[in-house]
Amino acid sequence: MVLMLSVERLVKRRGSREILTDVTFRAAPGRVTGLLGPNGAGKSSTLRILLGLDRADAGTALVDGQPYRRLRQPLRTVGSMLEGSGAHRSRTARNHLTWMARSNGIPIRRVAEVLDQVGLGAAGGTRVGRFSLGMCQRLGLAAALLGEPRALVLDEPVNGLDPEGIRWIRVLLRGHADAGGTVLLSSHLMREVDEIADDLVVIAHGRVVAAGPIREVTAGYPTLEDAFFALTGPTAGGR
Amino acid sequence: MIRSCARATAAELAKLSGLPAALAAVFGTIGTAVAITGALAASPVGANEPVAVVLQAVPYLQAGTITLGVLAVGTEYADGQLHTTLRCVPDRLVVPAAKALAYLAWAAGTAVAALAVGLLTARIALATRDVPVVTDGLPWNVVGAAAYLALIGLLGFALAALLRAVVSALVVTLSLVLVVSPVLDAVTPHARYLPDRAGGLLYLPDQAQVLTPATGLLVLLGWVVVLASGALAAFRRRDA
Amino acid sequence: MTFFDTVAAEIRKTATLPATAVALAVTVLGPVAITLINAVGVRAALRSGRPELTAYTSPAEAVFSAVPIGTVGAVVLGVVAVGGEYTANSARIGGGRQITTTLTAIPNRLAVLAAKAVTVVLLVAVAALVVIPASLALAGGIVGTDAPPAPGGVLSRSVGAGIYWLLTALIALAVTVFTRNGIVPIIVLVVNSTLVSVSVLLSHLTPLARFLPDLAGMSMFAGDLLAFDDALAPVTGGLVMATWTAALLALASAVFLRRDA
Repeated sequence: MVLMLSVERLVKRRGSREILTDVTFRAAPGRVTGLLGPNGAGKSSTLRILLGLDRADAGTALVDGQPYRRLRQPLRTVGSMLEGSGAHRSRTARNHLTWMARSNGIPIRRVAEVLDQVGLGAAGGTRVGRFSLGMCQRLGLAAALLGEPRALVLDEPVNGLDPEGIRWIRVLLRGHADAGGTVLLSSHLMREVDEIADDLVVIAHGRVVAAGPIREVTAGYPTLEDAFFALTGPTAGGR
Repeated sequence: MIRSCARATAAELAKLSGLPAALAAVFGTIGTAVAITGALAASPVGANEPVAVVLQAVPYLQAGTITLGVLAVGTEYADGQLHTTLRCVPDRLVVPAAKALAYLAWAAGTAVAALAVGLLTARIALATRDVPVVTDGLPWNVVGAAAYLALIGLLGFALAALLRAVVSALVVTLSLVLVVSPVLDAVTPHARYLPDRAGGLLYLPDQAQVLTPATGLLVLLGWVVVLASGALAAFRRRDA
Repeated sequence: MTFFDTVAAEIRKTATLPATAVALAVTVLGPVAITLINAVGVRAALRSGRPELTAYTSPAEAVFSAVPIGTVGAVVLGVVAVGGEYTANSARIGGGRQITTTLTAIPNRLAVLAAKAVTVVLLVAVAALVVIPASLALAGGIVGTDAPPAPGGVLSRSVGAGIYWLLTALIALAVTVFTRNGIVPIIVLVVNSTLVSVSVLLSHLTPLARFLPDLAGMSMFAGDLLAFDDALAPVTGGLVMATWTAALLALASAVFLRRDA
């Protein structure tokens, strides 16, 4: 039941620009790991490589020692959510989750279960194009939970959620980690990360500038926000 | 491998059924078959035999299966659906294979339904004109027409994979098949190697007797394979 | 804000869309390429002394039979000018549509639609002014001295082809206002831009079909290429197509004015 996400010396170039440089960190089971950094720091790129969408120019990103692309039924191992719902706007939410379930041999009853779980039980027959930003976000979460995975990888999960939704996701992720699961989430919202995460990976300009339990990373600073700006600001040189 | 392919194909079938535009393409094709065969059977230029009438309608029906093929692939590139697909099925070979199988199943069903409904309409329309209708078995060229309709849509499928957009793939495929091909046919015999002309031998005889139905089929498949392998190579190399 | 500013904004918005560049390329390069192949085919047939191998032998016909591919470009131009407004941004960034921005910047909706029409007309007109003379010169140069004496009316047919493209683009624009989605107008108008369209089929059922916009308009340039009898006279045909276009644009304006963005 232990599942480790490990990123090792990741390098990614876009054209001549290096957008990730030697990015290394782990997300451990039983803990919520927050990937924190300003816009454009390389958080999404890292997660996209971990999920097998983009290729790294060097280094490895492994799920339990395997690259994502090698997983047979990946949704049963890693539930993930990138920005937005990832559903074509003319589909219904239910159809979107149904084809996802079929692709991984997940029982179709899970579709109704996750729709209820994220609070979209009544909106299953609605076309995704009619969803608000918050509803798209909830659908993305439903897709992540579909295969009852041991690990959750979430890119900016609280974007567009209302306060009630934010509290709900906080409880959900805490419960997942307490049950032994692994949670890796990215955010640029410090307050949210501060309240959810156990471990912190701070990333700026494509480099990891600090990593470790949240208390260690923020030690010496009055708040996480002060730590964040000191670590990621123009004068930051790592610690 | 086989199990994951089967699961991916089941997912692709469910994907098509949840796309309103794909359903519109299917029913649009069947509706067009009724309208066109009815018009042909009622008009003096149409043939006097149901099978011949239906075969005259095939050039119009191909717009339907081409649309289906383009939609099956092109909609992946809208709203980030491709990211979801690749997170569900990370294998870059299984995804296109499953998608092609699902498309072929849908297109074959659409083609058979459209041709069957067309035959029925032509028969009724001819009967109202008091044209004596000869009843015989299902001729091979109606089967050939169904195969042609499904395969010409694969051309749209491959071009959509290459162009990664619905509208441009539709424009290119429809212009090639409906505009460029007839225009070139008027001036050069080499037009017979265009995908729709070569594939058309599956249901029409070649007056010049250069290609046979079998070689015509190979030429059409050759076009599809060349375009699709270009698209596949790019798909495997590129970041999603 | 003057109408001129609105037009300038529309030209900038439309001309910078990648789809517009593709459509312009199709309108310009398509007919030239097809003319080239046509003319080479005609020359080969004439030189081998078997003119019956091709459907026609005059360089002008080599150009006019290539007009339908330019029509496809015109259709796409008309469709993207409006369709681009309604394409949602990817749902990942909230699914916003440009129409909201356009109408908050320029609340006068009639001006927006008129500016779009002017933009489309300008783009198509420029393309036609380049393509048709270039294609005629190309075909004449290739077929050269083997050509039979030129038939009369090449100039009026050239103008007719250009007007046909313009009106087709405007019809595409109007239809896209109704559908708010480019796929349906593209399929219908591209299928019907061929010389063997559904309208031609209808013309065998009822003589009224010659008053359909495409068949009426084709009489401006198609000459003997049009595969049906009793077509309208070129000028009449042009007027009929222009009337259709005006009616569709008026209807589109009414819809656009009344509808929520």
